[in-house]
Amino acid sequence: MTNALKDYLFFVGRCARETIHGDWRYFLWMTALTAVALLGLNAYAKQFVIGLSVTGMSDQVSWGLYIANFTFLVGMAAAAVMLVVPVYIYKDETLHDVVILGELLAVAVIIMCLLFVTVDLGRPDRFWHMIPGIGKFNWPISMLSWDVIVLNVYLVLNAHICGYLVYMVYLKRKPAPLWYIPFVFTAIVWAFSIHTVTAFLYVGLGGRPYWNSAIIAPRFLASAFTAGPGFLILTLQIIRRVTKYRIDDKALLMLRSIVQVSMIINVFLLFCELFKEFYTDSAHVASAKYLFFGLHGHYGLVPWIWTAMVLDLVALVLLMLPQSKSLKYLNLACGLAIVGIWIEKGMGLIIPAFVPSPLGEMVEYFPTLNEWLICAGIWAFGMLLYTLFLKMTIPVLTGDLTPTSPAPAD
Amino acid sequence: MSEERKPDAAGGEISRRAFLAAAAAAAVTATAAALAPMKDIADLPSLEEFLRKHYKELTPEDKKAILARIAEQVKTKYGVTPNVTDLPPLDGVEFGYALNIGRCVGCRKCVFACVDENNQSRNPEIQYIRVLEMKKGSIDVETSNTSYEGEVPKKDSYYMPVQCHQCRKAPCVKACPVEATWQEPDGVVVIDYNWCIGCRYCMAACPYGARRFNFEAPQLSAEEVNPEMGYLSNRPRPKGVVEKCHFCLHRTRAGKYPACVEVCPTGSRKFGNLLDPDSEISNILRNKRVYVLKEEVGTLPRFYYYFDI
Amino acid sequence: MGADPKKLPLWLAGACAGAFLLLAAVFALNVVGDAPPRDEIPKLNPDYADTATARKVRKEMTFDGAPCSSCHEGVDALQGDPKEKGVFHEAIEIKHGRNQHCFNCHNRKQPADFSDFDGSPIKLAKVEMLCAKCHGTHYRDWLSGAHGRRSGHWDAAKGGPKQTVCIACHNPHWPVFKAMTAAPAPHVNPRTRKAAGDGHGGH
Repeated sequence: MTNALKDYLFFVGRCARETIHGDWRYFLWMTALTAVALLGLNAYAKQFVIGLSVTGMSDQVSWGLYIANFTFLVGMAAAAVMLVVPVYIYKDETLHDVVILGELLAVAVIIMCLLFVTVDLGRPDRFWHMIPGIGKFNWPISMLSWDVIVLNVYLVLNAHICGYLVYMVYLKRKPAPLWYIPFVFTAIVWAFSIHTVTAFLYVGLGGRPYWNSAIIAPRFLASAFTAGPGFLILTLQIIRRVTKYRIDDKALLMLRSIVQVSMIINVFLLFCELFKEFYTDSAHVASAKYLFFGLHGHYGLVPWIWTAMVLDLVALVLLMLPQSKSLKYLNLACGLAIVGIWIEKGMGLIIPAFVPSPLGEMVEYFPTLNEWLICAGIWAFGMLLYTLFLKMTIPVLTGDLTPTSPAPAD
Repeated sequence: MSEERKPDAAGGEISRRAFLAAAAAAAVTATAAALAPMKDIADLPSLEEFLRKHYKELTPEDKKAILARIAEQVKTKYGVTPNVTDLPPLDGVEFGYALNIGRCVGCRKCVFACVDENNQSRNPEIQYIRVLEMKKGSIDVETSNTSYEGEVPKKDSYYMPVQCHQCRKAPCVKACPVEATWQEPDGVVVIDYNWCIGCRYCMAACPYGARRFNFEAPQLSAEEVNPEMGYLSNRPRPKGVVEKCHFCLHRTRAGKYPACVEVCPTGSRKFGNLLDPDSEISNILRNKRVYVLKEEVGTLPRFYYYFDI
Repeated sequence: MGADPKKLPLWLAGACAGAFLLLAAVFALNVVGDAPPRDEIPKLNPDYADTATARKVRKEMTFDGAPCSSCHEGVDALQGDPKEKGVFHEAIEIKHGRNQHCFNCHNRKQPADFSDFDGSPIKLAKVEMLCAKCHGTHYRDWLSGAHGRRSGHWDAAKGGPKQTVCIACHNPHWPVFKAMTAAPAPHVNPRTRKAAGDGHGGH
């Protein structure tokens, strides 16, 4: 056992060495990401010292950009499963080669999620209060405690699947089904759970009518399965351009049909929600009114949401047209859909629930520069991690890194 | 990757190792500079505070030592010797609150008596009570105004102060991932300020907007400190935790009225033991027209509004 | 990768290291700047938290500090409208609903006391009995605690509540509360408000 572990660690070490080799583009990219991440770190240092008062949040709008990004990213992480389902359930091999890339993305994104939650905490020094055993974990009552569990388990599941499968490729061994099949299927169910639980976090609050709607969870899933694979379509093209790893157009087009269907469902569910809110026109419509049309002279989110609506609709139309079988249009559609969903499911879902406040106060929320920097920093750090993961695994997948291959020249 | 490598315009090459060394050194410098604001931190928890257990797991000896330590800290910081207590809930007592909606004139004295009593931060400002100026003819809080000024009461308005409703089915208690907020046997929902992680999920969960967050370390001057302090009520709070109305536990568990009751110039605020059939609160619930705010949310508040008949 | 994997272009080293050093300078000089400062919030006016009742209750019936007996002596019942009689009581403004007659409350025979329905005296110390003549339901509520302010202890075992008498809050000649100036409105997070260009929460 210890020997096996030693071998595995040696393998990880060899992969890690790959990350300090690369051409000028690689190092420039890493420098840029590190620089943005450091900007975020500096902004967080300020927030840590002064407090969350450096953000635009208030007692009325007590969650902001951090939780909005967190929500969006949980969706991205869950979307990795959309690559796994065709391969392992329908035995469709089109996506086989990119499954690992999707799961690596999930790992990086979950880490980003955890970072977004951490920067939102008022007392990050007390994180240990959440650790079962030494802390006091309010499970199963608190939905947040469920979220902590499902996110961390999802992280471990994906890390294990990636690590194991890549290691087997490295050793040129056939993976033992016992060591990954149960995990893959668990991960499939789990991906739905991380998103459902995150939705329930909001749905379960009776005091916030904007969230207290059963359709939120399905909406979450639909938008996740749009934005996640959409992001992968873009990423995979970059990967195949800058590495030797071959990714077939067929795989991209398969992802396209996933994005297409999800986007239709996403827009349909959004339409259902809007119908219910605006046709009923009860007192509960206030938040939606604030979001779409402004309320009592406050219009903070109106330009954002209409941008998102336009992006979503253009993306939908593009995806429906056969033109989007050409990558140029597909990329455009995916880009628009990702930005649209980021707005709609981030700011558009979190902020209006607080405006007006439960006491009818109209306090708007505008993120501060410091807040934007922290978010940018976490995004850059996540991209940095994903680049490192790819840098470590792709030489193995292409067969360049094997137990017998020579160490890279210094 | 190998195909199109730029011919070096500037000429000159550097070994990869030297490059890595230079880039890493510069990156470390930048990281150190990025973390520089950390040196100004003034309120790092002490080791004891960092490791302090949840309130419910403290032994009586632990509590005694902690209360003494808090007293010492207050003395050092504000030069006032406080009386820090941790009064237990009383047997056979369940606190209830009633507010005469027909009498309140919206003067906000309760807001400031509360701030004065409970050592809330003055700036950034934390107030447990919000007074809503409501349009006559509506109980929709959306018609309300919390920022009214000048002469009160205004002709077309009535006033509805809102604070923590100490719900029997408290959504905030359900929400908290670390059990830092819970309901005491006398019905008051309290917060362990040394256990709260500051996630603010309870604030999202509260239908009454009753919870307040310390976005910064609370600021109050030495002469503003109320030396009568309770562990679960008005002792000084750290940065980054949630607080709220606790029915002045350090007073009410000693049999006294909360500060807001004692200050109300119109006598609109009523407080007492729900389990005592002869208490004023029981009497009001029995004989007056009583309603609770946002009944449809199903939180079963212990805070009632009533009007005269 | 590259013609020679051991070498990297010099400009790259300059760019990367330079970027980081530039960043270090940005941090050191705090180019990004801090969050906008807090609002100035004036100190609390101690009156806001003052628990004194709206009025002061005298221990004795006086007028301008003088006991009633200094003008009204003898045993003859006072007659007519006092406001037409002299220069003293006309300053009192009576806005007590339909109750516009002095001797509905004041005792004709013993001016330092009040008067019950049958003319028997009610002492100042029991003034609530005077108000109860008309305001029976309020008296009932006052006794049970639903009306009027109480202070001290809710807990009877600790001494119980101190009731405040009717005239500690209500001016008997003008019982409806006069308008008062509200204490200041709450301040919202200045970052939120500045960006919103709006003075306050609420609307």
